Amino acid sequence: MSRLTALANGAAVETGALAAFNFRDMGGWHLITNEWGQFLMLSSEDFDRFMAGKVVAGDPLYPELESRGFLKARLDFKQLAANYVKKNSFQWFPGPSLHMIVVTLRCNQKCQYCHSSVVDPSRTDTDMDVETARKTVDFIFQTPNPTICIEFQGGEPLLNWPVVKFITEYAQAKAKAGNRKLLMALVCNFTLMTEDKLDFLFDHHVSICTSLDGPAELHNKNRPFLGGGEAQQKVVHWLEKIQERCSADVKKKYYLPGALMTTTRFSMDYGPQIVDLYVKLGLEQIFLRPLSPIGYAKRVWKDVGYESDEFVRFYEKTLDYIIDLNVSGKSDIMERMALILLSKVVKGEDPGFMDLRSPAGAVLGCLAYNYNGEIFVSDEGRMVDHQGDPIFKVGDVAKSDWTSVIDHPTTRACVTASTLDNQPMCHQCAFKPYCGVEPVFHYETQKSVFGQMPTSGWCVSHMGVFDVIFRKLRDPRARKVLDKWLERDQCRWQESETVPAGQPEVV
Amino acid sequence: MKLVLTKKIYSKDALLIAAQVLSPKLNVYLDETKSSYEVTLEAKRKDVEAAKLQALAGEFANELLNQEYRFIVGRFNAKISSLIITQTLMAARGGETPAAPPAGESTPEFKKLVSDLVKNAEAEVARTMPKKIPHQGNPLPPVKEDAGV
Repeated sequence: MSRLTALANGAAVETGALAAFNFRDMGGWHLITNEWGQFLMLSSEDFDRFMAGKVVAGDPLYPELESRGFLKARLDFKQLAANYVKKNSFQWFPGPSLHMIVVTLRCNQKCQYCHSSVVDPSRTDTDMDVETARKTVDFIFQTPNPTICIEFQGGEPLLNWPVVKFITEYAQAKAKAGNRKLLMALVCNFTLMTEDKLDFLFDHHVSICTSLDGPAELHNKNRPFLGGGEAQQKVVHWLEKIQERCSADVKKKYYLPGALMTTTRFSMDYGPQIVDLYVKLGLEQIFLRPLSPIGYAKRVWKDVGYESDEFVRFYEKTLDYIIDLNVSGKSDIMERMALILLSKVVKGEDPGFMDLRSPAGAVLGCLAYNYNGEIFVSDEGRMVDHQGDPIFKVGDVAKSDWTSVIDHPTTRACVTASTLDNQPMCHQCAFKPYCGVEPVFHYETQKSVFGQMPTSGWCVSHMGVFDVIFRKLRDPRARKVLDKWLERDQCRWQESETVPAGQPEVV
Repeated sequence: MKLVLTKKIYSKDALLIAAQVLSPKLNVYLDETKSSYEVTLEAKRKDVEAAKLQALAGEFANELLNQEYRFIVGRFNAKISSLIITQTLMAARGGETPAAPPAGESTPEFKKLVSDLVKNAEAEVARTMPKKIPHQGNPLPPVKEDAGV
C-alpha cells in the first residue's frame, strides 16, 4: 500500500506553467517540494489554486513560488543549481571520509540488540593485530578525500587498547606527513575506561562517544554485562568525570563526550525519563534512533523489536517533551534526528548523515574495516557478513587498492539501488529531496538491495519522522525552538573549524 | 499454485528477481507460452496450509509488481540517475590515476617513526594482552531467513 497521497477526485489540474514538483497532503494543508530542495507549506485552498494554474503575477503567493523554483517560466537556473549542489555536496566528495575500524569483536557486555554480534572476551582471535592495523591505516590514506575521520568501534575497542593507540599515533603521523585533516573518535561502553586511557585520548584529540540507553533499569536491561551485572552506573560515572575535566580546561571544550541511545521495545514507555537523564548529565543532544533488524538484532527482533509506526509515535511523543522543556526554559537539549532533517530542509545543507543521502553513504561516504582487514560497504554490511553472508564485502586491506573498492560490483549495486530516482514511490515522494534508502537494511529485511518501498519499515519510520518535523515547522511555538537549535548547531561547527590541516581535530 | 502472467506487462527479468527475493520461502517454476508466463509456486515448508500459500503468492505478486515498476521508473529517470551515479562514483574514485603517497612518507625520519610505533605497539600487545588463540571460525551460525522480521 502506497503511503503517497493523491489529489482529490475531480481536482482541477492545469500544470502547464508549473515546474516539476512533488506534493503531500498533510491533512488541512499541503507540502510541495522540488529537486532543488526548496519547499512550501500551502493551505489546501492555495494548493488547489496552484494546481489549477490560478496563481498568477500579482498574487501574493506568486513571488514565493517564483523564488523557490515552482514556476516553469521563471526558473533562476544559476541559483537553483547552486542550491542543488549545496544540498547534495556529497555527490562531489572525493571518496568517503568516515572510516570505521573494528579493532576487536570481543566485548564485556551482551546487549540485547547488539549489531556488532560480539564474542566472549576469551575470543582473542578476533583482535586486530598491529600489522593489519598498519595496513588498514595505509588503505584509509589512499582515499582521495582531504579529510579523514577514523572511528574506533567493536566489540568493545578498549579491549584491544594497544591497537587503538597504535592506529591513533600512526594515522596522526600520516596526516601530518600528507597534510591531511584528521578527525578521530572512539565509540566505547566506558566500563573499561581508566584515567590513563582518558589522558591518552585527550592528548591525542580523540573524541569520545558512549551508549546510554536511559535510566538504570532500562540501560541494564538493554545492555547487561556478560554473565550479569549492572553497567549504567559506570557509564554515568565516566560521563560525569569526562565532563568535569572538559569544563575545567577551555582547550577540551570540544571534547565533551557524546552519548547514543538505542530504542528497543523496552524504551517505548521511557521517553521522558531518558530525556531527563540526558538533561541531568548535561548532554547537549539526544539522538532518538530506531533499532534496525540487522545482524544480531534480526535474530532477537521478536523480543526487542517493534513496528515502525510504534517508533514514530515514540519519536513524536518524546520530541514534544523535548520541545516543551525548551519552551519552558528548563533545558536547551536538542534532538539530533530533528537537527539532521532541519539542516537539510531549512538550511538546504547536507549534515553528513550517511543514511539519508541519495545515493546512500555506503562506500561513497563511509567504509567499515573488520578486525581481519576485510573491507565492507558500511558497518551494517560487516554485520551481514558476520551472519555468514559476505555479500557486502568490497575488499581486503592486504590485497585491495582504492580504485578496486570503488569499481567493485557491490559498490555499484549499492549506489544504484540507493539512488532515489530509481526507486518506485521514492521518486514521487515529497520527502525525496531530503531522504535516502539504505541497501543493507533492505537486503536484510526484504532480501533485495532495492527493497520494496510500499512495505518497507525504513520508509514507514522515515516518512513518519518527516511528517512530524514538517508539522513542527508549521507550529510557531515549536518552530521557534527548532530555529534556535539550527543557530546553535551552526555556531558549534564554525567554532570547531579553527584547526589547520595536518593537525588532529575533534569530530 | 499456478499464476498466468501476460508478457505484455511482465518481463522475464522481473520474474527472475521476484523468484530470487522469495527464494527462502518459495520454489518458483517458470514455463512460458507465446503470450504469457506460467509460474508455479510451491512453498518450501512442507506443512503450509492453502491460506498461507495464497498469502505467499500475494507476496510474490507484490514483489513482481515492485520489480516491474522499478524497471519502468529506472527507464523513465535513466538520464538523471546515470548522471548522478557516474558523478558520485567518479568523484569517489578521485580520477583515473590514484595519487602517489606524499613525499613526507618517504623520508628516513618518517620511516623510523613508523618502525618505532610498530615496535612499541607489538611490545605492548605482548606485555599487556591475553595470548592470541588460533582463529575459531565465524562466531555465529547462519541466521534463519524466517526469523520473524
